[in-house]
Amino acid sequence: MNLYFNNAATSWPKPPSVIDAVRETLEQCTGNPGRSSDNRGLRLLFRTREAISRLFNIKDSSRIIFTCNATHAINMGLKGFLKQGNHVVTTAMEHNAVARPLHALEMSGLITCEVVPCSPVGQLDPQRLRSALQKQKTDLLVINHASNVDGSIQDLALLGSIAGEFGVPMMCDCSQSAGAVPLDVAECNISMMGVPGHKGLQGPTGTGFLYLSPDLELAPLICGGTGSFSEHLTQPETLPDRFESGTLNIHGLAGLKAGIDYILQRGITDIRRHELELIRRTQEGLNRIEDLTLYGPVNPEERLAVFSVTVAGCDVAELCNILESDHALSTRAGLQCSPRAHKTIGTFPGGTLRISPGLFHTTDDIDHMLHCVRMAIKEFQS
Amino acid sequence: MTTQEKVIVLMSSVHETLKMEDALESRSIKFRSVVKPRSLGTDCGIALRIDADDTGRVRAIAGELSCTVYGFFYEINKVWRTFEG
Repeated sequence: MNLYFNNAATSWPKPPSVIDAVRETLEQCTGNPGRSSDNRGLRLLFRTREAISRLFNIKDSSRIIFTCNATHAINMGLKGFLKQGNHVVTTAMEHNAVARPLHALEMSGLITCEVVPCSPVGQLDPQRLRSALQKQKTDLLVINHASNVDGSIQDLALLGSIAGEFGVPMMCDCSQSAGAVPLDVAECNISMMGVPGHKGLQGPTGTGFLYLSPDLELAPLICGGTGSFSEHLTQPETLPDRFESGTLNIHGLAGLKAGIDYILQRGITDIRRHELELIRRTQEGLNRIEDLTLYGPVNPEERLAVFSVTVAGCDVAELCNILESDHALSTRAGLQCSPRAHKTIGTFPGGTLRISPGLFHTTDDIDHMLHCVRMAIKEFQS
Repeated sequence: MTTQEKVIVLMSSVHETLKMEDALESRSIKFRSVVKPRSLGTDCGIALRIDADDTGRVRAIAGELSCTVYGFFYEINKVWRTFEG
């Protein structure tokens, strides 16, 4: 029985091929990518970029910049792109990975920012977005594709087309959606996309990337050695070198490639179909539990397998502790680094208990989890 | 030693060199990845050594891939010269 229900934070278990890939790169010499007489490491990085390109329909894999995680990628995009006097439109469902850097840039006087409210189930009304873009000349739209709090999914293709109407580049935080739902950067008109490797893409922690569309220019977040252009003191212009100073996490990225290969082989449509089955089972079960409130969209098609719940009279942190200590079931309680999202769905400041099944859960695992939740509530109430 | 049977192709970036490697491998065109000769003024840290007879094919593949060939070079008496093909 798989008792790990915190996949929205980090997916587990990983496909065996991911573990093999990390082990193999540690056991066999890959050298240092770009700083070695052989180029095994460089080839591995290149093939990881190519695999990412296939999954997200990215035409030029040199526009994929490896980072430590999505937060790193988002900071790279925001701080590299935004200039003095720029105006940003964002949503009330953003994770602190977006909200904090934007707040810091606003406090420093560099930018102004408008936060567009979302519905109580976390969805952004396209008309509200249109109004915000009409109101003031906007330089960047920043949108969370899918919420890490209530699992709500935004219609990126529609929002991207609205951004296109106004000529505004759209940055997407795809931390929860990448590897879980089909995602096409061209179809969605995405200009920048921050993605972690350790969630839906099934890779190890410490991996991630920023996708940067060809029409966008950024200033690098960090400068330094790239293994190329060494004769110049200025940072290279070519991509991805310009943004990848310092030795990359080659072992982790080997694992990320294996994770993406797993997704490509299994098929993102099949993965989504499986997730929808788990969503329906979980929703049905949670909705039957007395005193429990489940947040987020009712329609399974409009959400991911990320479930936020509260139970009348129960402290979610205590419930989380009972599940862990008495049932060995891992979940996450609190604000999940997304205070604005909790304000939107009405669960601030107490937060929620978040239950997030993963790719390898079965309906039997879901039934067991539901049983544990029922028992934990009884224990708390008694 | 004159090595005009072998020439070095330099692409405009490491990424394009790796892209070319993949393309050559998939078309069974012989090549070897080498460290860029120090005396060649280019912005790329690695290069590909290919048969001189394959320069035309390599140029065509670069076009297909939208990659930029910085140049083909051969070594004569330890001096690198442009290979006109």
